[in-house]
Amino acid sequence: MKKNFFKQLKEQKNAYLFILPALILFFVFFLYPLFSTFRYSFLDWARSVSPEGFKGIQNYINLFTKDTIFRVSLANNFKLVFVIVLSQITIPVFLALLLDAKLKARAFFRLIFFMPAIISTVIVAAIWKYIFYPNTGLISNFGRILHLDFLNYVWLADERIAIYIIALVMIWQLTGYNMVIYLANLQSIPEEITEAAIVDGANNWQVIRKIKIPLLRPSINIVTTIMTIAVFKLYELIVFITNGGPSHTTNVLTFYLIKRVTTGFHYSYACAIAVILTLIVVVLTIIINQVIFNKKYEMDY
Amino acid sequence: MKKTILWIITVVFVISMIFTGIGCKQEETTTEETAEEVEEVAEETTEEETEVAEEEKEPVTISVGTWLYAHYPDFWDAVIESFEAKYPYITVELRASSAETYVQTLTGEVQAGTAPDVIGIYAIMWDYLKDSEVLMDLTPALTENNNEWADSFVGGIDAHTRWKVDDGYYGIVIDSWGIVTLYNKDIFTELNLEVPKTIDEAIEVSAVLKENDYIPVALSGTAGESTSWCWALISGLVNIAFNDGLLEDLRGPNGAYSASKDYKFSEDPIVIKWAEELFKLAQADIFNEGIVASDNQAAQSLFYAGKAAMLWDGSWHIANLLAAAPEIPVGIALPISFYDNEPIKAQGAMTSFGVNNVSEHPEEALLFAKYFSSAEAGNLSIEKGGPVLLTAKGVDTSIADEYNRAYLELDAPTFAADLYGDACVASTLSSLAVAGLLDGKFASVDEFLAELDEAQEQYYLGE
Repeated sequence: MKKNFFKQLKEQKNAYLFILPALILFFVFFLYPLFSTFRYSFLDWARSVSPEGFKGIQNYINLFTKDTIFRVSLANNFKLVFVIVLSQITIPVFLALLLDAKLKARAFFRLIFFMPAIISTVIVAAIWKYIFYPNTGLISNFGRILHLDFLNYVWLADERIAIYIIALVMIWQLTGYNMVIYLANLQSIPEEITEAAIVDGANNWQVIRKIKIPLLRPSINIVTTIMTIAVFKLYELIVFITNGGPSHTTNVLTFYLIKRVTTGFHYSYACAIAVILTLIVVVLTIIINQVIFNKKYEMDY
Repeated sequence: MKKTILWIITVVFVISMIFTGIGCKQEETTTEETAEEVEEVAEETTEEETEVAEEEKEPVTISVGTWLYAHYPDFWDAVIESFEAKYPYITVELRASSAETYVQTLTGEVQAGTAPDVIGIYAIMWDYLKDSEVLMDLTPALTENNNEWADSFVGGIDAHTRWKVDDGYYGIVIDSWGIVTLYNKDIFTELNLEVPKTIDEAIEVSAVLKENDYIPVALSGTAGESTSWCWALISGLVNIAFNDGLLEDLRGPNGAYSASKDYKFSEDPIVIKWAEELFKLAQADIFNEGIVASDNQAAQSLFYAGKAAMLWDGSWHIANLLAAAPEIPVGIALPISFYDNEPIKAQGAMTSFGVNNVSEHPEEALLFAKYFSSAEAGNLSIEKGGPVLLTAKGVDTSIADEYNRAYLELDAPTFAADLYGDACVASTLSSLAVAGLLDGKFASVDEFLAELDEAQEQYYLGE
């Protein structure tokens, strides 16, 4: 095998030379920081310019045994993964199926649904924050005008609700983007297949359930993976809408990691959080791709 | 193939370890080298001082880092313009950013050796800046010519104890800030009310305001600023801090409210008193609902919509606040007292400058720091709605009324900066708990203090 590898290297020298610049960048900006982060997580580095000693696995022990904010953040990430993934394999699929029909205003609706995806996350956060502002927000004002007192509520100040408002904003922002992925997949399904099914007596619902949705599996796989990663990268919405509050109930790992650096200069501790974050994303991605969506998608038409 | 991949990963890992090691070693060497270089620069500066005066000056650009520009751009622009007019060979390059971005940016710049020539010292970064040895010892500059520069500050050289390490002063305190009470003059006239000066008065006035369907005080909580203000109220205790030893009492054996792993909020009599007073306010229900979810804009919009009669805000926001809604009849008063109903005389300090240890233009950087802390800049500040440079002697406060700056009457001993710096550190770890307290989350002071201790413990897990 080793011999084959070097033989191949020699034979395809030019090809490897072409990918060398990309490999160097990959090493410098990805692999090297990745291994450095791993290494720093075992060192004693807080409030100083460089590490000051070896700390072993103390950071990891603290994270899992004493750090309640870390546990809340981790739990919030999983809550969001559940809600976001579930919503993104249902709502956009539904919208894509609607837009796959021959509607007159299809382009218009596609544009409307896709619009939130092209708006900057900071602006999205500002819009939704205003909607949920206590006392002066859109919902509160709406409730006051219509005398619906339950709407005049401090939504983002409620520890039980705040994290789901973040989820709602994510759903609003991501649905259009995922809808386009599903729609592209639906439009690539040859018409012969659905026509054959109709000829065989299948109704619309059966066509959707037995043909279209099974053929959407590759897209569902991609969307599930992308959404899982997106949730674990979530930062801006938290910063601009809740800043982690009330009482840390909207903290997520990325936000917590950055807070550790910017307010406490706890570098090695933040590195330990980053390592755990990376491991979780890797493991979840493997589970999604190898366990849940393990079947092959090729079809013989 | 798997074996090959494993080999590649191992090689990459080993190489990265070596690189990391080299990086660390270089940093250590750099620190030592920096110290030597600084000494050389200091010597060279002194030797060259007289020579430079005789020679025609070469054009020089110095960089100034700050997170405060957005609060009063007119003042910054004016002070830079005035400085450049006075020293035509110097151009100032302003590196302005928000507070949060400033911390990240400056950390990166310090590590990369590209920190600005004049560094705005952010209290929560103090330990970091000190340890990284990026700041120049300003003692020689402060004390030269018979303490000329040091004596230009109210409080003399002691004004800068916050930034003192051993016998050296590594930063200068420029101004004094605090929470101010902004109030709607129309509402107070309509209800024939006096602006409260003490907690008891605040509770009484609030009861009348609530009867008339007004929110007594608007306050924000998400940005952590309200909690910062609340902590700053502790530094308001310096109104009785002219007694010897009180400062030490306030800071405690471990250095500050929160600057130590061993510190316990629940055991600090000063913090207990502060918490009790805050709790009294929270129980009286004088604030807007949902403080934990209200940012500055939310609180300010309540005030400007005429729904809230008062707004507690930082004095650093005043210029922008007055400009945002000139039609609102805004009065500005000192914050309520937090200690035995004694009026507050001083709070804290925000703007502090240090000079980059490895600046290529230390002399010009010092000139800027001196100019910014001068009475001339102080008067410009009043004129342009900037901060109040109370640290500088000779600032013409007689025009305060014209500019609606009641807080100019503060008689600020600048060691308030010391306490305010601690307040900033404390507020970073306790902001959510304090916002929760004001929102009525806690049933008792003990519960709140326990939450603060918990926050303290959690914070220091990273060290």
